[in-house]
Amino acid sequence: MNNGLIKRIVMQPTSLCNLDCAYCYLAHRKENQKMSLAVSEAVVKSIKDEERVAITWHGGEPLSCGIEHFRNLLNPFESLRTAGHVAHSIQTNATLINDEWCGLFKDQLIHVSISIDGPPWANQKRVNWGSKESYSHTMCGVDFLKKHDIPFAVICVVGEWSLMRARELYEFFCNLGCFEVGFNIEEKAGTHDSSAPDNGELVKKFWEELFVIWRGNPKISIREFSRVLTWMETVSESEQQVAHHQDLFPSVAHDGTVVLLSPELLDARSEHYNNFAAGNILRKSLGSILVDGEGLEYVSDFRKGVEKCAQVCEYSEYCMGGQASNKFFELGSTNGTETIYCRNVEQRLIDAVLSVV
Amino acid sequence: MKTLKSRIVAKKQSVAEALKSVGHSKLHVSSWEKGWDKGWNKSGY
Repeated sequence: MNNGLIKRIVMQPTSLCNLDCAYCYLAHRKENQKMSLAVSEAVVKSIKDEERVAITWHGGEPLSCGIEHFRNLLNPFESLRTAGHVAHSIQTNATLINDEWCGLFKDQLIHVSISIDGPPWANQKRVNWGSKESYSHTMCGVDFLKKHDIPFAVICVVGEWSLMRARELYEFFCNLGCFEVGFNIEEKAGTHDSSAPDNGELVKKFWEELFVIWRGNPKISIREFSRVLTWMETVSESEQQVAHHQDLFPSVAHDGTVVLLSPELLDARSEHYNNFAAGNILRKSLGSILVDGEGLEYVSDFRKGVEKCAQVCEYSEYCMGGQASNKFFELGSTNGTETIYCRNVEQRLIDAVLSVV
Repeated sequence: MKTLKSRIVAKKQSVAEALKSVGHSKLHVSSWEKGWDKGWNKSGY
């Protein structure tokens, strides 16, 4: 077995998405560019000696590549999966889930996370290419998951339309049947460069209200609270600073291009950073791409930014220096420090929990 | 001015009680040991 160089990979089976969500960061989500079997096989070849790798199938909408194609992409992983060295998860808008997909999820023990922003009034940014609502289609997918007893998590994007309605969101997800929900505050990223809420009081109040409601009825897990409470417990028991180092977190695009640090950079354009390409899995092993990756300018810039964060921000012990994609999209460089993202999902979250715990 | 660390230490007991009451202590560690991040999670928790 290997030394754990590769722990998690995001795979893009297709660039296509059947939805056109207003806050999406992907520029090429209308193009049906499918991952070839050769890319999948090359990834498997690169991880065959790893002890444990988490594979997350993301997109585009991963199910829009079609079930036969998706099954073909999974096949090369099968011996590693059955031996316990690979675990699959998928992030989907759920609109295309049917009996056949559920069968595949169960056969391959694929962990399912769906994207839905709450009840219809909160889900209006999630529309199809004809600007029609997607809520009813997502709920059909949820019904299929329930019918097949497939547990699922949720990612919910929260924006100015829902920040003041934490209770309604939480009650919706409690009734939806998911076991966990993660709340992503709307971000300025990729093609979505127009808005991100940065009202400190509003965002902090959202986290406070959500925490109080959740604490009173912890029917489901909330990703952010599990994470921050566990970290606080560790910090309060530790004499020294809790050390973290962000791994290079490779994402593999449909054509085999590998980007590092943030999946959002898969579709990002930067002449300065050579469009964030760290190599192509069809021509170079993932291990070599990661080893050489530390020499890339956007990676070394990011490491410098993280060092600065550690010097100037007391929250950096929690966030480990922020996210490369948010720094690039908000600040124009990965060598930066504080972003709106930092403030919303790290600083205001911590402040809120400390004020009401 | 209080540091973040001192604010957390001051709430140590409340944090432990909150974790106990919601029953999710060490959840992120166990979920990663299972090799799954419930939808990719930026911070790697």
